[in-house]
Amino acid sequence: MTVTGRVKKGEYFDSVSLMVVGKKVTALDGVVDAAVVMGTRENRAILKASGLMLSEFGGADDTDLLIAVKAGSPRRAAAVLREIDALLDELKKKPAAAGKEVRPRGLNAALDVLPDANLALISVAGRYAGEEARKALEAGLHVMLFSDNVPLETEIELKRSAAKRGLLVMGPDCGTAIINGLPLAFANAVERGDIGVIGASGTGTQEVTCVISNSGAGVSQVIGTGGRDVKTAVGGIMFLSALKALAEDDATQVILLVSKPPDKAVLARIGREVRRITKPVVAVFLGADPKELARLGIPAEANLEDAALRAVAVSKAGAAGVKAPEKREGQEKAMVQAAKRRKGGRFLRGLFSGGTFCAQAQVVLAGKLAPLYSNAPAGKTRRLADPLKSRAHTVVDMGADEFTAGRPHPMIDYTLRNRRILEEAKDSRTAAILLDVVLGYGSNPDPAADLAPVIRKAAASVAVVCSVTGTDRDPQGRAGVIRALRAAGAIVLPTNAAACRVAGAIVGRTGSRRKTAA
Amino acid sequence: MSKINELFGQDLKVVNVGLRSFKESLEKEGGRAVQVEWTPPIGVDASSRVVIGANAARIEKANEKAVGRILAGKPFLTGLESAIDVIPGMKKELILHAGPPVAWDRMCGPMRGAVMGALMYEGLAKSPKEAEALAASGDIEYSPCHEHAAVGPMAGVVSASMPVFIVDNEEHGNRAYCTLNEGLGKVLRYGAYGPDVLERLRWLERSMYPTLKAAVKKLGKIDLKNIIAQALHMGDEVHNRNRAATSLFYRALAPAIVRTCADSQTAAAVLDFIQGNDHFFLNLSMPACKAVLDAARGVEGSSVAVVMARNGTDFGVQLAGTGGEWFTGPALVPDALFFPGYTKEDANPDIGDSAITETGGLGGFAIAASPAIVQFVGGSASDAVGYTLQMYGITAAENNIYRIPYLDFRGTPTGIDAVKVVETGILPFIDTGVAHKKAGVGQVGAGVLNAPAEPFRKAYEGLAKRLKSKKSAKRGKK
Amino acid sequence: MTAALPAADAAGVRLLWMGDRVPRGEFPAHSRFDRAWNFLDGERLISVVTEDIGAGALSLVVSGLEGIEAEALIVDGGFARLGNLRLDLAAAPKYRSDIRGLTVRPGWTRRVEVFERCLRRKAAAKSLVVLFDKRRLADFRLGFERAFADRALQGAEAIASGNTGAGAGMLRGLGFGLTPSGDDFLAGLIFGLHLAAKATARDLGRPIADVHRAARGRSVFSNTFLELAREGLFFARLRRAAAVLLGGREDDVARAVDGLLSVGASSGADLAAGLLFSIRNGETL
Repeated sequence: MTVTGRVKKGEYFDSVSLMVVGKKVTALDGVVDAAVVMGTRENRAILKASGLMLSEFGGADDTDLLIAVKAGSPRRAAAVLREIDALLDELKKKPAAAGKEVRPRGLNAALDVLPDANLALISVAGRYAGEEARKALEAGLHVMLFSDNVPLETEIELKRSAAKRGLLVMGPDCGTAIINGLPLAFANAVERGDIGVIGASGTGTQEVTCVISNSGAGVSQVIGTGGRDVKTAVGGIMFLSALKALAEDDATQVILLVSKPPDKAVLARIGREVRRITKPVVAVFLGADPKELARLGIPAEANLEDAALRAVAVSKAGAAGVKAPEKREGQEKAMVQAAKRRKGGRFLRGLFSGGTFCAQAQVVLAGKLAPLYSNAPAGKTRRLADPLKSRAHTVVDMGADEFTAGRPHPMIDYTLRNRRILEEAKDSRTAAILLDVVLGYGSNPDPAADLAPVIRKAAASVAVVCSVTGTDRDPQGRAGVIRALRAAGAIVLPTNAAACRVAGAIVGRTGSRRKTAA
Repeated sequence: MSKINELFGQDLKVVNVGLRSFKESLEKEGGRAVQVEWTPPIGVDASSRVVIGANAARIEKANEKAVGRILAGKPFLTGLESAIDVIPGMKKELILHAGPPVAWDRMCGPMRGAVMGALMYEGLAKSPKEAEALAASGDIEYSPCHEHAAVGPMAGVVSASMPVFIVDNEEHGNRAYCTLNEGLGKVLRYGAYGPDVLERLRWLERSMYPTLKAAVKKLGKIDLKNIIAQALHMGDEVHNRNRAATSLFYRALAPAIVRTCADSQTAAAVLDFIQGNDHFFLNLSMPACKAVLDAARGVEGSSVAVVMARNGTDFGVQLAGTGGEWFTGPALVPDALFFPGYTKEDANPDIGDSAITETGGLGGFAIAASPAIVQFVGGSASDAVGYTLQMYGITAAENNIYRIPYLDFRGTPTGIDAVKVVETGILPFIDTGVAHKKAGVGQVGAGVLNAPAEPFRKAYEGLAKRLKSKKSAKRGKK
Repeated sequence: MTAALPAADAAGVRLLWMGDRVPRGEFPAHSRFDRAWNFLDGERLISVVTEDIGAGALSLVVSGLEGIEAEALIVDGGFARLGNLRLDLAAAPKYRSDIRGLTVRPGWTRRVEVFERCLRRKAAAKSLVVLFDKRRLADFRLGFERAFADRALQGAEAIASGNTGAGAGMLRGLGFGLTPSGDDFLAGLIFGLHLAAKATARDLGRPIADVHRAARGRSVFSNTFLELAREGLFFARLRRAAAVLLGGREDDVARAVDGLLSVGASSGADLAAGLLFSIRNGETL
């Protein structure tokens, strides 16, 4: 049984609307108890009495709207919460809408409204998503499946059927894509250009597209595949289809591949395809064995930043093999020198909202900081026994199931990570805290406001290093966010890889003299 | 060039199923998207889903055939007779009732009252007490109207001596029957059985019936489809509002009554009765739909509904492709606006064969033509349009004759496809009168409701089972 | 300045009623619902409402507002300015919200009984009418709803046993809605005291002040409503009910209750429950 909820400040709904929402919510499948009420002291008291009280309701006021849901599973609770948001959003829109928007019920009805639709973006609960995707494919639409928890067999079936029809199935669990310049789901507002990206990892893909855009180049297409596509069971069906499509695409001059290490058989197939393609290809398979990649003839870089910069260089120069600029290293050194040091602080604590960043941190820090712990360990990293408690050097994927159950993703909701940042800052052994901030559509709309006060507190005792993934055209505006975080005392770097290097070096300096014990 | 490369060359146009914010971001960047109003599908067993999926093409073809028959239907009022003389299988000890089969012990209050009233009207019982005892004795047979080519509003009780309208479907050669509407107030169809109720039934039999019979005979036949089509343009949906259709019918009939009825007192009484009862035409719109829908029966493989009917206890559905099998689930209580002094507590679950109008593309399905009704039940005109638009998502065709002015004379959504109902989770929309749960109190409100999911789930699975067994039977022969 | 703006009539907007306590000033838009548009200046709230909501002391009843946008409502002498529309206040009928002018006729007790019967019969589920009809407890199924009902019963019991302040404190801000059920109930309680005072010619100023003091919270909606209650300023539907209870025909009570119950989702029912509660318990308050 999970209780989850949220506070809506400064939003007003009339009583009838609230009643309607309340009634609909209690009628939803799997809801055990629920309340949608104003945050008065008395309502908080009865929330408490009925076991629906949440810590975030503590500071609520008479004019705040409190939403609490008790459901059988965290996922169900989170889904119900999303449903409530949608209902309330709907209500908000109502008075303004003079001419009612047509809301077709069902995919086929939607095709009556938009007969030349060519892609279905699906984000309903996983157990229904497969069926919707199947209908979309049958109607000749390409599919992006944002939903997670789609059974593996369904994924395989969908992708096989799509491949037969020559259609694309991005996902399931595909967080980002940019098709013909338009952002799908969690994507950044990046420049268009001639670099085609295929990504099996969401944040990694966002990072490379932002680096590309911020370096003055652009993307032709960004195709997500979902992380499981490169596993043996699925066999890289979509990764390979996308590779072929980009190879044939005139607007694409360079192809950039982003993934955690694919399974061996799939990697071999990718290698075969890459060798066939005449266009330059750059890959970053975070944590993969470079020798193996070289053997397969896949040109690769070890981290997202280097891979993106190399793609940019190729795109700009039309030639491969450009190294990252010297200037960068000088700047980073200066940052390390200037960083605040804490007496007795020895450890790095990385808290990531993007799973790919947690993986990349392990790649960058491998061999530099030991022992390294994580709740999502890769390579030589050790598994963190309790994800809530850091040991020695620790990097945490705050987007892992144990944190997101019943809550919005940490890219949207900073509550949990903010709390953890303060905890780590309090720990006298912490030398530096390493963070990521991901901007773009779908992410937290005002990260600076949520994060800066916490950084200000933490930076009083430890070094806080943070990367910002985003562009100036993103709704949150990259430059403004960076300014605000710097003003709060953070060392801000343009990429996660750079942030990992700097944070690693800061901790390395402060703690290198003593061999650390866990 | 692959389809993926084709996509790269097109304008991206997205159907967004799920989080609305994705549509908003897309639009902010200049993309086009349409938001699907998504509801979880009705849960059916996985094997049925597979069978239905595999037979999709076949079902579609069968549905085309079924719906073709429905659209081609030509219902005419051609005469009136005593039930016992025309209704197939009708006999003295048989009582027909609305909805799917139901035994006396499971009958709701209003239906029991109507049965008792009918037994007294037939002279089989002398008092309510006697009638009740007889009704429960097992000596009386009960059968759904729908199994005898008949329909009845609310309790829908038909007994041997009752006069009935005869509606001929000239296209297909079949017939449908329905009793005469008794008017408002204390009436048999709401389960009332007092002396005044029986007296009115007798008046219908003695005065109304011969008068109408002579007038219809004089006219030869009256084109019901034509009246309904016109009434839709005049604010009726011919289920809950029949004011325009009744007026049109009256206009067609009155001169003939004056010419054929020898006694001017009787003629005046009959005409007064019709003009004082806005729902008079309901007992013609219903058999008109019934006659047309019955023609679609027996189209193997079709998932188009030919019956939706309620007996106040259960809601039943029959499909064109599943023979005479009933698929049932508990009937729901309508979401209604109650007359002063009544509440939902007083309401009987949904009752009556009148949902045959929705099954035929009228009633709730045509409610966009009848904004007055939605207002009556507490909604707005735009709600009415919304309800009708939604129903296009679960129907197999748009009507060729019944059209809705506000929707640019778009044909009404016609031919409920049970497969679509299950897959979209959109449930048929019915607007209806609400009976008091106690026999004889009468109408307590009017309201709207969606059909329950269960009968459609069962119908879907029933169709799958039939398709499967047909296939294995064929294989067996080989 | 205001006079130069296009008159609202020209845009199909009509000012139907002007509340008798609408203050002058500039009121920024605060929130907008289907049938009500609220303008708030610090502490003062004016609502522009549709005919369905009806008149009130601090309301302008305006028809045809769909599609009209405004960032503020400015009220000066004879005109109000809504966006770029000018509403002619002087020409609009003025709504009188107090009940001094209402006639008291015999039969009060009997009409209150009918009022209670109608309320028990027709009020929305999960409203505080449960205080008069314990069978309605069955409507409160979820844990939260049960906790709400328990608490409300306790609060009401406290008030009934003379602990007005404590009981009102328990009901304040309790339950569902933008003005939570408890606040609607307490406002109804105060309105009911005004009514009882008039019907039985007693001075109930002290309990009115007690309940009002205990009921005030931090929601501007609730506070405005409670303040109107304290001053005895009835909105139209409530005033109609008051008129019927004080001196109308028994047959009209049912319609007056219908009118009240159609306010909000359960707001009208909660308010009516408060009204009835103070009439019933007037002796102990």
